[in-house]
Amino acid sequence: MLRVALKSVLARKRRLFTTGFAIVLSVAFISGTLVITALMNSTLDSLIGSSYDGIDAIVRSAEAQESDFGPPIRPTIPDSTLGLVSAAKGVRAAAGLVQGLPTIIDKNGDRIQDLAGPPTLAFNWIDDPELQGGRLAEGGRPPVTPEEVVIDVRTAEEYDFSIGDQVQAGFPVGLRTFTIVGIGGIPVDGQENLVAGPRVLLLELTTAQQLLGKDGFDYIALSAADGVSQVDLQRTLTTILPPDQETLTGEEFVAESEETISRLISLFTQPILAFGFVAVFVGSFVIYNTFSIVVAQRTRELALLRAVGSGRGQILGSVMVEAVVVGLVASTVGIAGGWALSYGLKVALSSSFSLPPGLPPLTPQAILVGLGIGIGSTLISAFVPGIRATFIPPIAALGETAIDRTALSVRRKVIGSVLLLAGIAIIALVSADTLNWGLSGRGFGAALLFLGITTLGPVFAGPMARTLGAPLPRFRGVSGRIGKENAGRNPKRTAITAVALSIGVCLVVVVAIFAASIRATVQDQLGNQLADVDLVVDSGTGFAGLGPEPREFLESRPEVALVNPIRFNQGTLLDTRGAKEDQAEKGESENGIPVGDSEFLIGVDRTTIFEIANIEDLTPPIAEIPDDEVMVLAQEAEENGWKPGDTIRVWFAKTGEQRWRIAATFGSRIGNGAEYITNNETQAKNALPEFDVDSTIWVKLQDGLDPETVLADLKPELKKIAPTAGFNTIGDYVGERLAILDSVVNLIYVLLGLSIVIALVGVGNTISLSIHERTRELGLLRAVGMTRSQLAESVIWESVIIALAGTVVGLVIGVVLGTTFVDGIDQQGIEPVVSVVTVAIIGIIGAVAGVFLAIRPSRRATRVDVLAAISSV
Amino acid sequence: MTDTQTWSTTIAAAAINATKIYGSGDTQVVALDAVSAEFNKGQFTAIMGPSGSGKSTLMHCLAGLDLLTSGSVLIGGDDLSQLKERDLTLLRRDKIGFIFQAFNLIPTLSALENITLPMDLGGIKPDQGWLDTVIDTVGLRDRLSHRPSELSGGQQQRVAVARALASRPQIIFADEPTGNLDSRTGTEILTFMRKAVDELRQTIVMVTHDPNAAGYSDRVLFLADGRLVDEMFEPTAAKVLDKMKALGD
Ligand SMILES: Nc1ncnc2c1ncn2[C@@H]1O[C@H](COP(=O)(O)OP(=O)(O)O)[C@@H](O)[C@H]1O
Ligand SMILES: [Mg+2]
Repeated sequence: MLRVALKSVLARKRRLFTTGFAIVLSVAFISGTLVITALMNSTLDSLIGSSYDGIDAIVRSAEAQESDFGPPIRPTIPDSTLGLVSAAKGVRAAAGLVQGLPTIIDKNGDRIQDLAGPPTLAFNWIDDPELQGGRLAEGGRPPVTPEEVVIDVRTAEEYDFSIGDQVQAGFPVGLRTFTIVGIGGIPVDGQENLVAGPRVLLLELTTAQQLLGKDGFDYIALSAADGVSQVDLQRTLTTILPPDQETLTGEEFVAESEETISRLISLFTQPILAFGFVAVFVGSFVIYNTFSIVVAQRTRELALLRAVGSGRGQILGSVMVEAVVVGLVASTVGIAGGWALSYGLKVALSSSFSLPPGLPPLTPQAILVGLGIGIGSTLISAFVPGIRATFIPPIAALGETAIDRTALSVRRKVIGSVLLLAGIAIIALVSADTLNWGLSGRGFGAALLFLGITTLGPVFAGPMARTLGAPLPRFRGVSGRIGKENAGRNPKRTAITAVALSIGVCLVVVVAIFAASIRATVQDQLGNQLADVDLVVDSGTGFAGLGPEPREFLESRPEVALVNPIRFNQGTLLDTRGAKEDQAEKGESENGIPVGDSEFLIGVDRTTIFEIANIEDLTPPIAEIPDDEVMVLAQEAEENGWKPGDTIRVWFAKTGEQRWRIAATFGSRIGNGAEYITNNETQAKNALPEFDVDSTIWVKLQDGLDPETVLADLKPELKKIAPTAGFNTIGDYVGERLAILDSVVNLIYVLLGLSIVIALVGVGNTISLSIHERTRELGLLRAVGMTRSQLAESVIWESVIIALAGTVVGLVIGVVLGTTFVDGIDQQGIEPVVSVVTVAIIGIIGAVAGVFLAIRPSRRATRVDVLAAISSV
Repeated sequence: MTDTQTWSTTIAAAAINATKIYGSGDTQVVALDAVSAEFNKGQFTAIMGPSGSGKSTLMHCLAGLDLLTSGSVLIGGDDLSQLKERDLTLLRRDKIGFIFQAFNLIPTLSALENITLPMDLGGIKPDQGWLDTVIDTVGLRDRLSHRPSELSGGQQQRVAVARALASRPQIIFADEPTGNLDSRTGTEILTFMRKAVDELRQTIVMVTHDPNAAGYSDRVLFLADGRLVDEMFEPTAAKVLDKMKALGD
């Protein structure tokens, strides 16, 4: 029996190839992502391990300000703590550290910006060789004066800096120029050559404190005396530290840092993995279909096996053996492909991370997950066709090759309709706010909708194919009619083929709607509401912010009418509905930090904002934001039951609990979309040094001046005094944001393209197998006078109809889901926008792909040997 | 040899020294060995012979489904060996009708669509009057919108006959058209074919095994080992049976 099964596999290598293709692609994708993730994690872990190797404990503030940008940000601890812990029993050495986010300027005077990857850091140099994880390369020395700096080896190599060179960098306090006295890196795992993690500037301590605005240390690193364990040291420190400071062992500190890093890495790898799983899902439809068709075609052979005495188990076994072989071969090829892919990813990432040279090591996890997914999805997809094969009666050996004519069961129709209607009902009710299930409710509705469509697919497929193909007989004669009839001839097959495509198309449409909606929002918030803004200064992709120079420079210029700096901060709101729910659950505070909603806050100029921005529905109409008062988005205020004049509480790590009066509410978000707006003085008062910087500056020129001309005039000087700043017209600034958005969306399209390719290969596969099944019919058509081109045309129309059916269903569901999802995240103030052009383009692509996919099968169809086809009985 | 004059008036198709050799060397099979025959217009010819004698091969070559190794086949003045693949296809579509033993119909098309298929393929509008005549002759008026799967074997074969007749081809080739039918239905089909010749002036060449079927024809050609061995006019089932026995089938 095993021999029969294996022979069947080998006899149909082509089929093996097409089935395997779906698995190869998705497994390659998943394994490749896992390999690169493992490589990044291990590289960064050993980097962290090596640089923190000599640290036995750290001491830092217990109060933390949650940040959307990375690990929590903490206030400093005073200098005096260093004296306290240095004198403690069991401490060999202690050193205080400050860190911050500078912007390095390259030799051309341009800011160094990494689109992905870790932010550039500034630290103080530590003399103790054990606490100082890094090492200086040959010929370097530590910085000792305020004008000296050590730079990391990667930046030095990439931007051609050597010892003795001058380098400029921007800090919260402004632009500074240094002389490079050393090039540093980390000797990973005790090796000779130095490796760099993020870009780093190392400064002498007091200079670092002054430039980064720190009045103490971010943390103190300690090394234990001989014979003192990390835990002992931690215990000793705990007894002497004030309650607002905490201590971690070196191991805990390393673990925490590694976790932060791996969370950041997974932010990048998880979505890619998710696309891989979508591909697996789509691929299982293709595999299911292939095996169903194969079983249908092998009906006579299987029936003969039954007739000569094979048991049901053996029949199932023979189908499953084929699945195992296909799954095994394809996953192996997929894993190998993934390995190659991981190398490509590594190269792509090498500008942001320094990863070891050569092919990334293939991890057991990548192999096991790859095999598991590849073989597993094939087995699961082949199981139903396999079971169906066991029901082939021996008598079928005598008859014609059966075409799957099993009627669609009533149960299928009932279950399908219930799922579909339930899905639609949930989405409708949630959208109408009758049901308060939020985004996950919509997701649930979407899942039901899809299940319903998949179940009902075979019921729709025939009529749908005939409807889509209805104009064909009129325009394309018999070829059109035959193509149309064939597309609707085997509804289950057509449905599954089309649904696989629908999933991919639906996701593309959802993404397209998101993109169009965000685009429209960006255009509205930045373009329309800021119509009075002429020029924008921005601080680039990092979080470093701007120094004071751009603002001072612009304020001094006669061409400039208004200057409005924008600042960001992160605060914990204690009185929102969400905060109250959390407090009811966790109590008022956790580890000494108040429980609440971590929110994004923006600061603006207290009066200028009203002249420069078009703020809708300002209630009451104020002309100034007073200190310690806040403007709240009307919708947010309403949700929390607030009105102007109320007081709300906000907690900051720097200043503790603040009470802010609500000065006014406003109708729709401006600029960067914040819901809470204060003046910049209030913002500065509560901001830790990391946030105590201007992030963006909005500039309005004197009436009658041309922004382009003024920009051209001012740009050279601004670049000289503030090279960390970007300087653009509002139009270009918006364009730049949109370009970034577009590149992200394009990347998503490429990732989704994987699933679509798999689904399209499935369409081609179905057509090929169907044609194989119809050899005699094709022979007959040729005999009675159908020309090759007419025959090819009929195959192409069949393929176009199936592809179009899948595309149309995908489009419809995509538009429904995209709209409901965007509507669901109206938190961000994004309104759903459906681009007719995009939808039309996707539809056309679907049809064209149908033509393209049919070319090969149609060519095969025309090569059918007429005599052989009609004379075989 | 046939002159052009005769062509236009009396002869629908002809084979001249038709030779077909399959394979080469040791495995070489001479399926047709210099067969020459003419098929007159309005005549119903049966081709008989033992299994493997070359009947199907002759018919396939006459019908432009296969090419001779040497010799030629003429249909309506065209020498098939001179035609390109596409022209052969068009010739089959426009000048030849087919009835096969089984699997004559396209399952996705209705009976009527199957009947008009060759004309639809050529983009030719069927002559409605003629189409009605054909449909009524085979008695399918009330089944026209049915799919083949909804028709009995005999009805399917009648549709096939109607298709062969509908485009008014120069000649109709039938390969064991009753081979898959019970004798009553078979008789029905043969009666239609006979009618088509008598009433509609069709030319039919039919390959058959069955002396009874041959009895409906005007003339029987006997093949053995790829050679034309005998010819019989106004055959009856009994006479044909005797002849076949003599040929050792
Ligand atoms: N495609 C082919 N390849 C090789 N030999 C063939 C082929 N088709 C037919 N033959 C041989 O040619 C001879 C005539 O076959 P055929 O015309 O089918 O006979 P009939 O229809 O009278 O039974 C037989 O010996 C047969 O084996
Ligand atoms: Mg034969």
